[in-house]
Amino acid sequence: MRDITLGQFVAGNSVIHKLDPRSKIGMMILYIVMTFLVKRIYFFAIPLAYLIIELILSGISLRYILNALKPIRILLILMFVLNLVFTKGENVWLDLGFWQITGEAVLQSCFMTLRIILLVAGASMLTLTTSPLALTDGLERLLSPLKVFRFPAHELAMMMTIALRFIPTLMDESDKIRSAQMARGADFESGNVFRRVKSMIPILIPLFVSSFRKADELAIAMESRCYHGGEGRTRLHQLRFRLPDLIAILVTLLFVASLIVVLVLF
Amino acid sequence: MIQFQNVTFHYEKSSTPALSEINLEIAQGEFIAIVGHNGSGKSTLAKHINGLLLPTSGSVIVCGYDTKNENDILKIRQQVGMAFQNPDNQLVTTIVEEDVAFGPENLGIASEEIRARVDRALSSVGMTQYAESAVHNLSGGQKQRIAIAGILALRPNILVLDEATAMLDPSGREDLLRTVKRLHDDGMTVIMVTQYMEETVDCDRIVVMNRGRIVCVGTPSEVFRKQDILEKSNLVAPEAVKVRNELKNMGFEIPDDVLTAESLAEAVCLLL
Amino acid sequence: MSVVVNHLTYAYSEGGKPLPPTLIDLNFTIEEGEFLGIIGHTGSGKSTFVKHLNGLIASEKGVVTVDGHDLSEKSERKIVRSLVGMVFQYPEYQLFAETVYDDVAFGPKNMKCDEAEIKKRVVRAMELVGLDVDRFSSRSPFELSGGERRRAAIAGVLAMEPKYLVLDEPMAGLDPKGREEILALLERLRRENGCTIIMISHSMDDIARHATKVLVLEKGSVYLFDKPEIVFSHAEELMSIGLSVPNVTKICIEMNRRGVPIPKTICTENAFLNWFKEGRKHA
Repeated sequence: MRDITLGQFVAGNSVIHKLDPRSKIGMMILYIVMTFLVKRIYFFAIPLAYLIIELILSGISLRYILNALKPIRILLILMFVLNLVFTKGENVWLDLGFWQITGEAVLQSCFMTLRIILLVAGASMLTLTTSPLALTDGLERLLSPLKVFRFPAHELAMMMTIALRFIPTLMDESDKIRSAQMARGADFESGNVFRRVKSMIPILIPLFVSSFRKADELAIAMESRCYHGGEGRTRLHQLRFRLPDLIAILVTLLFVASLIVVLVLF
Repeated sequence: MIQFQNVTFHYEKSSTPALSEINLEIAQGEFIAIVGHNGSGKSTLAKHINGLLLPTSGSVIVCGYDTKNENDILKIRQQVGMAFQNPDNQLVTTIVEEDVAFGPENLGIASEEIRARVDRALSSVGMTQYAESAVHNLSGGQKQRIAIAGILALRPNILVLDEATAMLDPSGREDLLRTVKRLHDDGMTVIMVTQYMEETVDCDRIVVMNRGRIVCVGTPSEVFRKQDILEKSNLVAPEAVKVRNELKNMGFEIPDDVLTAESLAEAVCLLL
Repeated sequence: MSVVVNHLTYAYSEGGKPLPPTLIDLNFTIEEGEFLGIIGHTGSGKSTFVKHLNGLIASEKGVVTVDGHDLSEKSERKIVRSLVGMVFQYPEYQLFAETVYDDVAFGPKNMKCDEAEIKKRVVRAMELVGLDVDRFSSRSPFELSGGERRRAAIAGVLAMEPKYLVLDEPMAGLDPKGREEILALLERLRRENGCTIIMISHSMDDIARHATKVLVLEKGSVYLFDKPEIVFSHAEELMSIGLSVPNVTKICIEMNRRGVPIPKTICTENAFLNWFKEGRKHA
């Protein structure tokens, strides 16, 4: 519980881990584009190959990817079944009288399910190899040109940073409050849903109060440390776009290009 | 270095002033303790030093800058580092070194220079080996030392501790006080707001606050002699001083500069 | 009746794997009416131990019984929770209700007391902690001063009328006056209500003055368990494990070092002054 972080970052020292978070975000966007460009199921071989190469280079075990897919397994099954039911076709494989399963439907089901799996697996590659802090940093820099349009890139990133910092603290605190209320005879385990939700009030209110106090004190501390918004701020860790980043982006672009070529030719 | 000139301060909703007619001058290199019970105004006073609060009337001059002058506020905050009570609520980022870097980053300092400052600050609080640790895995005392490091990275001349020891266990408190004393020896002006009179025995001057007013200023031995003022201000002298005063009441001759267990034992042994 | 701790061992676990034990083979009995002070530095297992006393943590090895109720039995825990009141560190952070009255009434309500009984208990608890019922009942707990909030939170535990009151650093963060108020309250509870007090504290002076028994925990084991004057007479050993001792004990150590043979069992101001009166007669 204590070491919970957003996403499921797995610390490592691989080539992929060391890439600039901006490159990784860019690569992920290109990868997503690839999965959406695919029109026929066997073309998925190209993004799949890309994913496998990335997985091998990162040294991340396949188990983590499967873990990331676990929460959406119901969605995947549902997608599969719905496509099976609603896709019309002529090539009937199985006739149940009221319902016909067609070859087109099976293909379409597999196609859609595979696309979702590849999307989620690719996105989790980003969060598995990039620490939430680096991700925040990367996002802030990528979005900073939008400041011209008054987009609060710095503020958003600062909020993420602070949220990441305080999640473990607040978890600890809710544990403590829970113990204290249990010692006063509070019962969080029995009763129907409505009662259980109601029984959370003695935890939630102190937690809110404490969050506000924390926010207040943190704001004062930040001000004391010369914080005055994002303007003119520098960073300890500069993000550096290096040769491996260039190569990684080029390779990704190569994959996209080859997919396009395949799409045009076939 | 710091001047309070007839400072009065009202919190918005309150009818009684939190500070009234404060006049105080603090010189470079001094170690000052500000003591008082909860609500005596001691933290309010401290928050005036770096312009977190601005006087309702009167003025606070820090290193020649008036805190009321908005353009100078960043300069003042660079000069005056401030550590607060709850170690958790003043650290901004997850990783120790990034938190220490937060201040210099705000000043727009070049990244190599920030690196140097962070390393220096961490080593002067003895936390170098934790540079890449996650903040929430540290003890309270360690967190507080990181907070101090974050302040030192701004290279201030004045360090204000606003009850920074209140939430620490005895060993964390000792660590922090040792760190602060070392900084003072290296020339830092230290202003320590506290309720623990034991922490004040080594400082140059004690400022006693009660109901928003300064009721007494003096060296520890001068202040601890004034039992009636301490009592009226709801403060308790250090244990050794209490015992000393009792012995004096019993008719023994013990000098006023006896403030610690050691010096009291010495004085008592002379009597026997 | 009493709290009996028998071969208690406990280890937290992380991700299904047990960590090194936090408590190792604790054996002792806390007698009724005692004021037990628990000392030890952060990580010595103090907080983990007291959580066992009302079943917030269940022991896997060893047994804790309160008045004969075995805490490893789930069915007994509910009974024990009404016998043992727990005041955690910074208890004011658990306040949640709209009024002080409602907050203090939370415990008795959970105990399924009837309306009249709840009222009686709330009034009694508020009087005990020195919060005037008429003035404070309908106020929001969030607009009280720090010391008042702390006392309101303690009243919330006292309203359950526990026989055993466990407090984890109840004076932390309070000013000297606030500290004295809490200590006076504990003394009064013990004297008038016969309540057994079990208090974790870092303040050796307070422990020396108020405790009738002291438990020293070190790395999860019992280091010393005895009367305060006996425990603090082992000052050198306590200091060697990084604990501090009462200020009066420090004075006595210094005097002994200078050749004045003052007994090592003197650890409070009164005992010290008494010895001084006596010692002076001898001299």
